[in-house]
Amino acid sequence: MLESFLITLRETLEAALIVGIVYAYLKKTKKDHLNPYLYCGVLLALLCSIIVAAILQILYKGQEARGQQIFEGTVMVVASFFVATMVIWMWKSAKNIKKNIESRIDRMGRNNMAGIWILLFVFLMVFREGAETVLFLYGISFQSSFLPNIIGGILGVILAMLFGILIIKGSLMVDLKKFFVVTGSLLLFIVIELIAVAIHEFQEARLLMPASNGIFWDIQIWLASPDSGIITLLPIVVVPSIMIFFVAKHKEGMAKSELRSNVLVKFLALFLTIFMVLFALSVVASKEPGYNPKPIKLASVNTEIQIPIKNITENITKFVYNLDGVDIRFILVRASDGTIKSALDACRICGPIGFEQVGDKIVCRRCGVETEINDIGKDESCNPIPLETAINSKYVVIQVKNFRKDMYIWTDY
Amino acid sequence: MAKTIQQKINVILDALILVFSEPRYSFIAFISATIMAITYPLLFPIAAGAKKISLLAFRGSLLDIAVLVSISSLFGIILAMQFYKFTRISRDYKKAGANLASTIVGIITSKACCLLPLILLAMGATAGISFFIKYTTELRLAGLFILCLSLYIASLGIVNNKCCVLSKTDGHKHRGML
Repeated sequence: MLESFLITLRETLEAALIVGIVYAYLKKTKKDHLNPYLYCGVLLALLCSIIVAAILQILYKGQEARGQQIFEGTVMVVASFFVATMVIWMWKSAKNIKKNIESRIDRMGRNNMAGIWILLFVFLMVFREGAETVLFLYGISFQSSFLPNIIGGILGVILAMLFGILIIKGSLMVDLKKFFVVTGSLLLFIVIELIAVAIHEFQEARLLMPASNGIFWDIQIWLASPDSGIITLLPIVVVPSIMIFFVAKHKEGMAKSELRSNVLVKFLALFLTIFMVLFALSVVASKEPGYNPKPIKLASVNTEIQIPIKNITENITKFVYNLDGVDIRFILVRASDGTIKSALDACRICGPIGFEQVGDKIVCRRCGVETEINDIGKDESCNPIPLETAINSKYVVIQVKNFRKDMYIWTDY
Repeated sequence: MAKTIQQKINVILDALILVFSEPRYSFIAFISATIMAITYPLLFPIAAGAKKISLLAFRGSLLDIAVLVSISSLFGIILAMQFYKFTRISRDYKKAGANLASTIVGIITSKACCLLPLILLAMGATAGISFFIKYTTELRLAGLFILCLSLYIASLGIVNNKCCVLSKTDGHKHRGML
């Protein structure tokens, strides 16, 4: 339930922020006639995201996920371009917003293409989030029961919609220029996150070089990791909520009903702020510490290493072998079907940082990507690099030469 | 005449309009709600015998989080309302020339109405936190109910402006709220 809640909340909050801002702008600048384009964009995107997610699932079921990664990466790059364009447009418009509202001569409003632009922009943002939501929910539907997943998912969407309402109502209570500056900055943050995830998708699809050491790559990998999801959501919800709670003021001559509605919006802002802070703390606290055993040192006998099979359990065992002065770590583990899985304790994207075990998965200690223990040995995305072994009745046998081809992971990073 | 739920909600909203129109009370509500939300899960394991503060105290279901958020938000708002009322009462006492001691005594003795929401607030919050010790749905609901009642009583005092003896300057003493 918590997992599906987190997925829908994470995926729909950003879309809610953007749709909310566009709606608030159209309302404030009295361009309500463009609203149908906004609604069409949202509906079309929801429909397409379900269809495309279903198609992707059928096309790539049981196959290499490379096509899916390239598709996701491309959509994210296009979406980040659109969001960046929107931020620039918002900031430009914010300077003259008062004049624009009075004269209604905003260029966007005059332009016949404005509606199409809004439709396309909203479509892309909602489509990206929608397709991801469907794919993620489909993914976790195998691991947990149906009803809690549905309830969690619906609650996530409801909370995101409440946030959208807060943005729409709240933006009418505060100075729009300041509001656009603040929300625009948050949108730029989303642009950076989108680019970071897109880079990771392209790296997984092997279209881009893997990450190396350095602060830039560390930030990129952290932004692309599942761990960062809830942390990056915090400012997106908390900053506009605090702004609405503190900056929104009652204006003279307001009707009583309007004043009451404003107070409700403030209460909603307070509620959402505290909820997000507690939820983030809860997610961080719930994270299980991974099992990361100390590697056992091994020596070779006649260019091969022998490890007794009886020592291999369903918990990962790590070994280290010194080859030409370089310590190379590898993992052996027994899968649920009893077979022995072997891999280097490194991946091609994140390098030799290694993995830890959480339940029946191993998790990259750098980017947080999870791999089922049964899937160890598949050379794709951020999986551990496969290691060729031979198994006889008593031992797992590894030829020392098998380490050489991927030794660069330890020497080049 | 019995008020409908809608009328009761309107009383609360009208009180909130007055309280939130001054930034300092918004600030009090926000800070106290946030502090309460964070310190409750941290302090209660300590009270229950835990030796150090741990983030693990924040582990909980969505329902736990929602209840804690509701309790904290209500707590913050009621506290801000109480500050709003106390500020006005003490201002009126000051205008009437009373010293600090008599002001405090005056608030405590003559105006139980001002303290009642605070007492209910404490009761509600105490009942609310019980889910950290035992998962009892009834107690959670009772805590929320008491806090809602407390919010309504506090709102009534603000909207009716009857909370203070010396709130009017015509020299007549006014009956306390409720």
